[in-house]
Amino acid sequence: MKRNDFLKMELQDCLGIITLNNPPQNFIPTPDFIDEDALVSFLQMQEIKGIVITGNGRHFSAGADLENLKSLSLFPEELSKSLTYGKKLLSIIENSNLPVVAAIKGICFGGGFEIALSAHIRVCSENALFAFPEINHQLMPGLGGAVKLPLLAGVSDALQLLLSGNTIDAQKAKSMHIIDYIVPQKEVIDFSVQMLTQLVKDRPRYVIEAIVQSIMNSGKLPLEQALEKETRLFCKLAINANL
Amino acid sequence: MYTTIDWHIEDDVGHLVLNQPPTNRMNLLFFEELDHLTSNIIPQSDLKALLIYGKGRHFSSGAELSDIIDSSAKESESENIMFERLSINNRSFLNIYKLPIPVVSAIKGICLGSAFEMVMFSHFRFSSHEAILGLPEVTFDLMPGCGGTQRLTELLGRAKAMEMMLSGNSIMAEEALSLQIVDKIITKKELIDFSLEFIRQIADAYSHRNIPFYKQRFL
Repeated sequence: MKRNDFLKMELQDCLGIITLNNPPQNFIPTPDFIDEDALVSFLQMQEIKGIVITGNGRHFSAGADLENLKSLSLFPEELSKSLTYGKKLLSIIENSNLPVVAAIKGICFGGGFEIALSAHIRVCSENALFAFPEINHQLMPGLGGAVKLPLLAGVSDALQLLLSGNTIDAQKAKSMHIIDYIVPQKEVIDFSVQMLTQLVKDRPRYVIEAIVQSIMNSGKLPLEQALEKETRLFCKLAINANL
Repeated sequence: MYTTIDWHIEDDVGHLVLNQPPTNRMNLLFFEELDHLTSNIIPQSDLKALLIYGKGRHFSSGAELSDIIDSSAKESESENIMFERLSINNRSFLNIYKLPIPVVSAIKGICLGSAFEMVMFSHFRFSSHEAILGLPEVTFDLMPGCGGTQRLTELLGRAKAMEMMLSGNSIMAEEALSLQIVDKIITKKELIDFSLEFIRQIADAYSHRNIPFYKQRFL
């Protein structure tokens, strides 16, 4: 499949819907799965106040296309470049200053799991399954999964998932704080869209951006610095609101 | 000593009482007095704990924009004046947070906006059953400006914090307890007594005055 066919990006009312579009398993063709400029210009559409990421069909994504990855690994420099690019893409999503919800059905493995971890809120179906199977191929997650998972689940649970390659179900993922909501399979998209629409529809985009940006500073910056940035953002909004 | 705060010490416990009932609104004078108290008085008092609460039925309705905006100043200056004022509030909250003694907030009634931000900088939060907590700033096209986005995210994680701050919805004590924002719910009549008894039980165990209390894990 061609790289820029993998992500379907649509505007739906005030939300941007990003669909992993390589059914049935939505394998990710290459780590640099979309053109950066295309992603950025989509996220900058002023109508969009929130993002939902989901998979086409029954599954979220089964992860990387191993055949492509194997041929890519013959050229270590190309592989490294491609992974760096892919990480940048996920960082662009995570740091878009818009709330991002992953709506996860069925299988969510490896690179698919890493895409889901770049969201801020994760909704999944009762039958969703999660794993980092990279270890079974003497590999590890290449798009930040081993860095982000411990932040959510703690080092102990993250180690067990990453070293065993074991698959966990929705309940287990929720108990590890990886998942925020579990809903029936049929309702995953509707629930995610409605929840996010409720959160953002009455808010100006610049207010949403200020709040999300400040939340993202938590844990990244020392508290004193993050407080100063928060107060700066607040003052800009307050001057606006008072005009 | 202060107009907006009733500050007194009983049995080595500092009582910081917001004293502008019924709503205990946090106006400019309150924040000036809080800064003086937390910068100059509390660090030099030999306290074994600090207890924060509101006089009357409510903790506090928080601050209002008119309290921090200088409408007589030019627009460009107005933003800087506001930033300076809020930076002082941040400093007060951080002073409380970094105290080497346990800091307990006892929350009755409403606790919104800056008031909720302040209690998130204390180390323990006990509330009465009918307490209401929230950060409604977004409903005025604003955001929390004194640590709410940081402390709530630390307490709840990104997902829940984002939901609460983008919706602006307030929560009742029960939900706050289930989210672990509040550590225990007590009847409002017993709230202060319970808090003092809790302090009595733990304060002696934390006599390591050089270790900031917030770095120690307790509950």
